[in-house]
Order: sequence, then structure tokens, then C-alpha cells
Amino acid sequence: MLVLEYLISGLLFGATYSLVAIGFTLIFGVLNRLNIAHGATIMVAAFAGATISIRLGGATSYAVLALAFAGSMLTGAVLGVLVRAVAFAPLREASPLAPFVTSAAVAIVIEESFLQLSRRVPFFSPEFTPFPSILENAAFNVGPILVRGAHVTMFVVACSIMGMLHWWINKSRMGRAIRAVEENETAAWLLGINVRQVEIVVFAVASAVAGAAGCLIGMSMGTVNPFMGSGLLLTGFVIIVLAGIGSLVGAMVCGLLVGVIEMTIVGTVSASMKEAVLFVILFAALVFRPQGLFAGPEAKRD
Amino acid sequence: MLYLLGILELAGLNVILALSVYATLMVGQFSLAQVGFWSIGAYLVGMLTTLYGISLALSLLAAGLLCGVIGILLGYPCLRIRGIYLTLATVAFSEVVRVFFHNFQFMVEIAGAKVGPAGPQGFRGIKVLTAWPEILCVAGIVIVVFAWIERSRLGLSANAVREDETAALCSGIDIVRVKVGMFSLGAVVAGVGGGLYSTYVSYVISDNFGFHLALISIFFVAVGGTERFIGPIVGAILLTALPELLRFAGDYRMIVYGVFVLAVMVICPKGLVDEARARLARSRARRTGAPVAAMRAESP
Repeated sequence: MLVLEYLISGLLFGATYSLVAIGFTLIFGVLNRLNIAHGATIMVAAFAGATISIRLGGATSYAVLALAFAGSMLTGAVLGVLVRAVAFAPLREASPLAPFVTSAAVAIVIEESFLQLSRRVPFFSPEFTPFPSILENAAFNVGPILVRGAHVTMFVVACSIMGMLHWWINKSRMGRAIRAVEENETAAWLLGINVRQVEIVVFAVASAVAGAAGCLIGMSMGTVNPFMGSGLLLTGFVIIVLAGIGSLVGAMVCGLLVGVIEMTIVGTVSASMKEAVLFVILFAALVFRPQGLFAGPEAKRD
Repeated sequence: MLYLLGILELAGLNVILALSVYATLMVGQFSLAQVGFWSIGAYLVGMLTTLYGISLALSLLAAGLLCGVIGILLGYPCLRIRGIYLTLATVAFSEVVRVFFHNFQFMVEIAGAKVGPAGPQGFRGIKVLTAWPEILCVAGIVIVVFAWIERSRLGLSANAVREDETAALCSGIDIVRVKVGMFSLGAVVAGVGGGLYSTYVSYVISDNFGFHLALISIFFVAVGGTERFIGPIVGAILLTALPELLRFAGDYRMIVYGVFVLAVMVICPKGLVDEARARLARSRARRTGAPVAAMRAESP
């Protein structure tokens, strides 16, 4: 029964991993570059949500919590556009190493700034800044299994975001433009698609989704800290490689899968082993199925 | 004076780390596995010297050998993957190594006290055997090796593989051997460097060898430049000295450091040394009126 509880909470929590990975994979799909600052974006958005919740009293009101969530998404979107402008836009022609380094440098700058901020701003605390939420102690029993209200909220919100994204990418005009740029940037440009605009929109949306993930994770953990993003970044690596880079549906499913694996290992073996197992899986996936679990036959890996 | 010597020692260690990253970059792939090898070397040399009383030179050789073998074993499967996928696979390797040492317990009783890797608490009390003579000596040897490689047939083949694998293959270069060879060379260098590091600082903990150090090691190479072996050396020395020059910034030091790396990469995406070389070549060509020698093409 306990294992079933781990499985369910892993599945519910994994939905936020899906959100993290979707943002990652969207940016990679369009630019063919990893955004190392994605983890830092998540962290900043979580801090924004926590600030709203602390200042306005998210511990007692659902409305404030919703406001914090919106604030997180907005912060994420703005930061994403900034990251693109600083770390990616000036380096369009450079080798892949350059944007990797610039986005990593941006991540370090953001993390260090928030380390200093959380020491100096009075309502932050240096180690773990609280994220008060009314859902904190909500829990209910489904049969013999205890389910946390925060987890259910997280799952529902994450799944609805994923549903909307899926529709947007596949059906809307912008989504079609994004897929065209992913497929072939030059051809898309020749057909009159504004590639620069597509990139900006992708960064904004991907980072807003990351912001949502940050807010949900902060809310369910009850705390945020300046380094919460780097662990999530590594989890994001595992998910997008498992899924096949660029695959949205894959990122959603593998996020849930990774959540379940992680929770089960934490529950049954030990917390420190979870990264090892995840990375062994990542390594095996790269060696034995480098195109990922969800890649189509035409996917080229280079 | 002691302070300057301390910086010199750190710079020497960082040069070794940077050159080990550069070894894989010579064949056009960038790897974050160096941190994994660095920590294997650090723990192994720490254990051999402190727990078994083996001499530093022998322990460093053992660390280099072990990392070289692991490098070959890791290099073959990694050949199937390239670019960003190789980078992610090497991240996975480093993280697995880190978690391994996080859980690694091997305590031996020496003179009434328990010494050895103690899992999450790290490995305290490693004998201090390394100071500037050892570090400069090893760094010097590594630099000479890379200078020699650059002029040798191996260096030329590595360049050819980086520029165009198919063309290199057609010219009769054994791509597999060159790639795995350079990868394990990087592993050997990192292993030896890690060994020097642990016997220099006397205390290692697995959390120090995380993703953060991997990023810093890439910074060295990227800021310096990736085309010649001088690049990583300049980058490592510059980025070691920078935090010291930034002492006035106090707590905000790392922020300024990040901004500096960002600015360098945006202004000269090829790195300082390569950019300087390109400028020099251009201005010389303008002065003599000779046509600009074909610059090495960007790797895709």
C-alpha cells in the first residue's frame, strides 16, 4: 500500500517535471541549444510567487495563491525574454559552446544574486524562504491512500497547462510557425515566418511554463531557495533525453515517469540514490536508444 | 608573497583542469565528464597516499591509469552520440560518480583515529603532499604534452576530425581511435589533476565536484579560446586571478564574475586568444597587403 502511495504522489509530482521539461524542449527545438539558465528561471519565478504569497497572505486565501501563480508565470516569461536577449540573441552565428557558456553564466549571476537577496531582504530567509500556502496541510484519503491536496492541485494545473500547450502548438497559427522553425529555420524564413519573433514567443512561453512549475513546486514543498533550480535542470536533462529532444508529448509522459521513479526510489531505497538511478537511466537511454523513446523515425540526432 | 604563491598554485590546478576539457574539445565535442575524473583522481590519490602510505608520484600514476582506462571504457559507447547528447551523457557520468562518492565509506584506523572517505561528510585529513613545485611541475608536463600534440600527427588528425569527420575518414584517419584517444587523454589529465588537488587541500567532499564545477571548467576553455592549447591556459589563469582581483566586490564577487564571463563571450564568442589571433592576422594582412590566410572554419 505504501508503494502505491509513492507511485501516486510520484505521478502527481511528476507533472511539474513535465512542465520543466516542456519548456526546455521547446527552446531546444527552435534554437537547437540548451538553455542552462532554465533552472534559474524556475527559481526566480518561485521566489516571485513566494513574495506575493508572503506579502498578501497566501496562507489563508485561495485568491492570493492564484495571484502568486500568475505572478510566477509572468516573472518567468519576462525573465525568459531577457535571457534570450542577453545570452542567445547576440550569438546566433557562434559555435554551440558560446550560448552554452553564456546561459550558464546568466544562471550563475541569477543564482548568486538571489543568494544575496535572500540574505538581505527581511522577509526572505538565507536558507529556506517559506512559501506559505493554504493548501499546505490539505490532505484527504482515497481508500487507504493518503493524497495531499497540494499534489492534486499541482497535477490538475500542470495537466491543464499541458493540454493548452498541446492545442496551441498543434492547432494555432503561432504553433504552426514554431513547428516550421523547428523543422527548418531557413525554409520557414523563406516562407515569410518571422523567426526572431517566433524565438521570442517560444522563450516567453517556455519560461512562463517553467515559472508555473517553479510556483507549483515551491507551493508543494512549502519553501524556496536560490539553488532549487539547478537540481530541476538536471532532472530536465534526464527527461528530455528519455523523451527524445524536441518531443512535447514525450516530455509530458517522461516527466510523469521520472516523477514516479524518483518517488519510488526515495521511498524504498534512499533519497541520495535517486540521482544516481536517474543518471544511469539517462546514460543507458543515450547509449541504447539515442533517438529517445518518443522520437519519430525521421528524427536526426546531430 | 605567500598569497601570490597560493594563487599560482590554484592557477596551476585550474590550467590542468582546463587542458583536460580541451582534450575532448580538440575533436569537436565538449564533455562535462572531466569533473567526474577529477573526483575519482582526488579520492584515489587521497586514499593511496594517506591510508596506504604510497608515494605521491606513484599514486598520481595510478590515478592517471585508472581514469585513462575508465575514459576508454566510457569513450567507446559515447562515440555513438555527438554534440549536445554527448555533453548530457558526460553530465550523467559526473553525477553518477558524485553520488557514488557521496555514499562511499572506507574508513581505516590510523594512529588511533579513523581516516578515510566518510560518505556525505567527505574525506578529511588527507596528507598534504602537494605545493607549488609539484603543481607547476605537473602543469608544465601537461602543457608540454599538449604543445607536442598540437604539432604532431595526432593533433592534425584531431583537427581534421573536428572540422569534418567524413573528410577525415576519407583521408584515412582512424576516427574511433583519435576520438577515444583524446577523450581518455583528457581523463588521464583530469585524474592526475584531481590527485594533486586532494593532496593540496587535504579535504575533499563529493558535493564540491558537482555541475557547478563542470560549468566553471567549461568557462576556462570558452573564455580563453578553443582553437589552440594556449587558450585554455590563458582562460584558466585569468579566471583564477579574477575572483582575487574582485575582492573589493565582497559578497557580490561571483555576480561580477558571471557578468565578466558573459561579457567576454558576447564580445568575442571564440574566446580571447582566438579573437586576438584573428585580429592580429587581419591587421598584419592589411599592413603587408597580402591576402588574409584562410582562417580555420567554424566547426558546425
